[in-house]
Amino acid sequence: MKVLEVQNLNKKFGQKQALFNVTFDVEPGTILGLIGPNGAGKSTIMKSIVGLTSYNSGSIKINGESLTKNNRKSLKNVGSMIESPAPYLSLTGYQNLKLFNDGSTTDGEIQEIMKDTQINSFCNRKAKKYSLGMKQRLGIAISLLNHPKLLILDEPMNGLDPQSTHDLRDLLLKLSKRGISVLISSHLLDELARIADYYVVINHGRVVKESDAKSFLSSGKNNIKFTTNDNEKAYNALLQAGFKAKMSDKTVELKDDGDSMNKALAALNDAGLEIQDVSKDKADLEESLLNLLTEDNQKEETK
Amino acid sequence: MLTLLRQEIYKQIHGKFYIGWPIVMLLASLTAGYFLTSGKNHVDHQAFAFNVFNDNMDLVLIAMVVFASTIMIGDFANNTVKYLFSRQFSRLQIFISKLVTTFFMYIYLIVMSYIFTFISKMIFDRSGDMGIKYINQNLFSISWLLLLIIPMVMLVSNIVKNNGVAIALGIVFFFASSIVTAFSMVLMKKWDMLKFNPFNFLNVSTQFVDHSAKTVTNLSLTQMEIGTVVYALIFTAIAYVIYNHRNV
Ligand SMILES: Nc1ncnc2c1ncn2[C@@H]1O[C@H](COP(=O)(O)OP(=O)(O)OP(=O)(O)O)[C@@H](O)[C@H]1O
Ligand SMILES: [Mg+2]
Repeated sequence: MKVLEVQNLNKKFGQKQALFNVTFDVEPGTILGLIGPNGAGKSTIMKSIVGLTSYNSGSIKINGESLTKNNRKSLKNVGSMIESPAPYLSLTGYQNLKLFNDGSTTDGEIQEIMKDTQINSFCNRKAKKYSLGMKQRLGIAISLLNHPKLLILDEPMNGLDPQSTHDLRDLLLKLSKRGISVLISSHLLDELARIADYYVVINHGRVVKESDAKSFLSSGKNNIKFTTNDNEKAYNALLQAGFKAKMSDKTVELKDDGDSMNKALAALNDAGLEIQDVSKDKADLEESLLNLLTEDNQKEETK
Repeated sequence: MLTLLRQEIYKQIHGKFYIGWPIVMLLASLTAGYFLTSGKNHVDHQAFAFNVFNDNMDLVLIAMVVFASTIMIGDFANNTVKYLFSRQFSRLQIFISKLVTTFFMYIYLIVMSYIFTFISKMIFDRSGDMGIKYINQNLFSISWLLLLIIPMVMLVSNIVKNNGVAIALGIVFFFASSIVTAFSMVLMKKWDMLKFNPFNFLNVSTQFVDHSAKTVTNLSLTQMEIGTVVYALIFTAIAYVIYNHRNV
């Protein structure tokens, strides 16, 4: 059974439609990365799921159970941190954890959560005095209370130092091995790429791509870089041969369409150039995302 | 539901309010006790306790206005409400837990008022009767007023989403009854139906003690009491509807 099913979610803020038929789901024990530019609708999707904001139409199911305004039982097993952590500032970190515990989390488990999120050292100070990253870690700790089966984390790495980011990554991987599912949004794509099993890409309130991590990355075209004895001449030769080549500092670059490598080499040889170096690098998540968004935005413009 | 109540109470116990206000009330009780018995001002024994208690009740009323507004919208101030709204509890359950906590706070402050009045009496006016009958009557009359004012304050704070404004208005409501009464007496002579306007019911506490206020309110005490309950329910219901539709 799916842990989370979102179907045809539509949401308007006044006249402005923020979500258009958003549909996706989360499998048990997987980490789904929700990505997209600022204002795409990621936080709005998350808020709709946990009931922080109402939506105009669509349905949401958690562990197969429909979630409505009046039937919220299934949220018992959902921990979330949306947009920014918001502990009670006049309480200490530890008191915040005590407060938001439904009663199902034992003291031992709270200790473990504090260890996992590394807030022990400051958990007895008032949250008012926390730095951004400390608050963020407390926010993550709060979301881990009450034995969640689904974690919804909106930019949880925001403000975390490299060590804490690394620790959070390990923690999320550990949790997902234990069968906990995670819906996470982040602009730190390198971090996300290390943990996400699936991606859902949102642009202008629509799902523009839903894919598992491997195929998403391989859908991005690879770059081929040539270094020759005369890059300018090489660049022109490649243009003549029909490639959309680009000049950069010391190389000429082009996108790999599958058999571009051999054709390009032939073109450069025909032009009598001496090829000093050829390299091929894999598109990373950022590049795949940017390509996808450019395509999507172009589609929208031509409409 | 119990979880929500426990949470609300946990927040109170770790706050300053439940200590701070009683300290103010205790100081007021002692100060009032001192002035009521010093020099020529010496009041008679029954009036002593009544006066001290009445001062306590004024402070309770202000405290409850502040409390009602804060408990409704305090969570929104730094968005902590996210944790409250994103869990398995319905907004109705959350709203009710806040009403119940408000009621608990009221009971707590009332108990404190009795204790402080007693302490002041023991220190400054040991001899003679407490006049407990008048004290109880005062309690009931203020309770009727609060029954109307608290839902008004909760409604206003949910509409304006601003604690300061809601508290200020709540305190104005408290003092407003005499001003409004002057107005409405004139107007009610022209349009009799105006006697059912909610502000007329702010006189409920006066009429509870002094039945002759009937000539001002144009309603019998029973009508005043029923009206107060009806308005309390209406305001609470509207406050809930607004609370239920808030997006975070
Ligand atoms: N309370 C609101 N009132 C009106 N419009 C809103 C509100 N909240 C969000 N929006 C709009 O909805 C759209 C989606 O916003 P959302 O916060 O979901 O984006 P996001 O993908 O989370 O962006 P970011 O990466 O910056 O966090 C935006 O166009 C935003 O302007
Ligand atoms: Mg966002």
